[in-house]
Amino acid sequence: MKHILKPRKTTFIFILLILSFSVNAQWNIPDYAKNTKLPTEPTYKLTETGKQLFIKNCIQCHGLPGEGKNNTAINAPDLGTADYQSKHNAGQFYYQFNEGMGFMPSFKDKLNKDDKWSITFYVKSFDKGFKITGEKIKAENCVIDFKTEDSARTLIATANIIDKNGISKPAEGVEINFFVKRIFGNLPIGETVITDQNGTAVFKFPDNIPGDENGKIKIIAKFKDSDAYGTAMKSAELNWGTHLHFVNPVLERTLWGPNNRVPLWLLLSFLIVTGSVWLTIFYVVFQITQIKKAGK
Amino acid sequence: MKSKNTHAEKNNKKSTSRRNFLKKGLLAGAGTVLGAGVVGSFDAFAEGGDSIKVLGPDGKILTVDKSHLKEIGARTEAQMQTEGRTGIPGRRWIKVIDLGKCRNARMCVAACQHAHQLKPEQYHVNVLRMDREGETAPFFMPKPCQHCDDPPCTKVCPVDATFKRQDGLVLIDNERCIGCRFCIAACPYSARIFNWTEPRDAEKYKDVEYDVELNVPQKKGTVSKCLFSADLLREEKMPYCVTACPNGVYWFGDENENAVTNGTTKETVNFKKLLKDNAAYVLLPELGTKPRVYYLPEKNRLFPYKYNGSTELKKEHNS
Ligand code: SF4
Ligand code: SF4
Repeated sequence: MKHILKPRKTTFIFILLILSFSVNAQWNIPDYAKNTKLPTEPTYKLTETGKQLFIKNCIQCHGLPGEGKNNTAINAPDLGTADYQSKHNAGQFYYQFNEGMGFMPSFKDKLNKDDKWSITFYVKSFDKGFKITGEKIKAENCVIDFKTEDSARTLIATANIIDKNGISKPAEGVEINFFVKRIFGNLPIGETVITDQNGTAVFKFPDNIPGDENGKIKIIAKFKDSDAYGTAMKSAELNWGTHLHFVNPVLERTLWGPNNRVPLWLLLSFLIVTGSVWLTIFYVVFQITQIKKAGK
Repeated sequence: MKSKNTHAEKNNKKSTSRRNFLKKGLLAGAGTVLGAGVVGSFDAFAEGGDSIKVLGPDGKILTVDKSHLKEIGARTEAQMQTEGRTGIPGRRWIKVIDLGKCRNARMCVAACQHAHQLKPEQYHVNVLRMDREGETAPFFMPKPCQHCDDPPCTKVCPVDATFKRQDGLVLIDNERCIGCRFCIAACPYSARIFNWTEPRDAEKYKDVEYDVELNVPQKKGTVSKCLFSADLLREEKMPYCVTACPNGVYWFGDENENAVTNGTTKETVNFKKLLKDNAAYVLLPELGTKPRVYYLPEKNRLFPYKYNGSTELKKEHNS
């Protein structure tokens, strides 16, 4: 552990070195990559999964495709531009992303094959010539709602699609996620639930989620597939959380406690001991002066 | 980082520091002893029609129209002192650092130094290059104050300048610190720094009101260290370093809520599960300091340390 606290000033120079390496390096994509067969048909559902994975793994350097928020300092391209898309088909993109180069890490062992292809489909979905199959639902037409059953701590969520005539009909097979509000974000809880043909799904609320002193907790329901179904959400405050028993550590007896937490007996013994030592010293000095006086 | 106002901009108004106030208090006390002219000054505070007499910032008595007076929203120094000492009730702040994601971008360091008026060579959080033995690969490790639950540093302070709060933070009151540096010696993590010289931009921060939750303005001859951005936590925002990281290294949250949020991706996860699934550890647990900062091991590294194309320590040393 000795090395833990040893900073290196040369680190910066190393970083510069690495930087110059990766800037000069060129992608060397073998020809076979271009003819890679897609393992499955690209569907909207897969691109949606890909998007979530992209946000987790790639967005830090590349930004969302087409938004131009890529990190140019390390030569990370915006993957949504027509230029990039025309030069890389799905196989070529998959190769780059699998192998890595310079600052681009290799995802060979970091993601499984399905996930890597989902990301590939998501990135290729920005190519107008890339064909994606499957049903695409209009996001703005979905609503979400839930009822609570206090006795069994159950949430019954309903999802509806509003059609062109304004008539609402239940949405079947929609995935709904539940969250609890935490100070810096929403924490997903439990499994995803899927609506039946009536558009409803039942969610059993776990009983170990911490709430405040009264067990109060804010619960939020959202569509998992936010791109397909939209960002509609429903929230409610319930007292289903565990109660917080806050013990103020400062009020406990600790060695690091502040001065005013000193126990009285300790303070008194300290004062008595120190006082008597000083008194003894004063007494001795006084006696010495007395001896001196008596000697005169 | 750019969008955040510095404390200087936020709070740039004239004020008397506690030390000046004490000085004036002593002078006033001396005046009372001398007994001359003091009695007459009392009616200076009495109201007179529509105008009112107030004590100006420089100690002079001013007469102002009543309608010109209004309440100031900013927190006073006394308020900041009491609130800063007690902490935020019901919270237990916690930080998790994922070493597998760090590639020494040093954005956390820059954001921290910007916020806390530090010079480039002063660190509240530093990113260290870690070399272990033999064939092991080097990696980078950000190291802030661990905000120990049993902090050795506060035990040794002779003037109660460094203290622990109910929400788990360990802070320093620079106005109280006498610069004895006992705490620097006591901290096993080398988390504390000493202001040997005048701090950065001392002129600019001269009139800023001291905030114990920010350690700004810094004072020459006193100690400073990572505060988990206590000033931001009060506004329910994540610390400067956490949001500045471009690589998702930092997780921050409240242990009582059992959740931590990533500063980069804003993803919120179960705190205990994150620790369990990733074999988290703390630094120097054998000392019993009970750190509030957890580390996830440098496995599955996205950004391995490379020098001359090699990721191994040995090759670098031999070349
Ligand atoms: S890391 Fe050091 S300065 Fe921070 S609380 Fe622990 S002992 Fe004190
Ligand atoms: S240097 Fe300051 S904070 Fe540290 S022990 Fe001395 S007085 Fe306390």
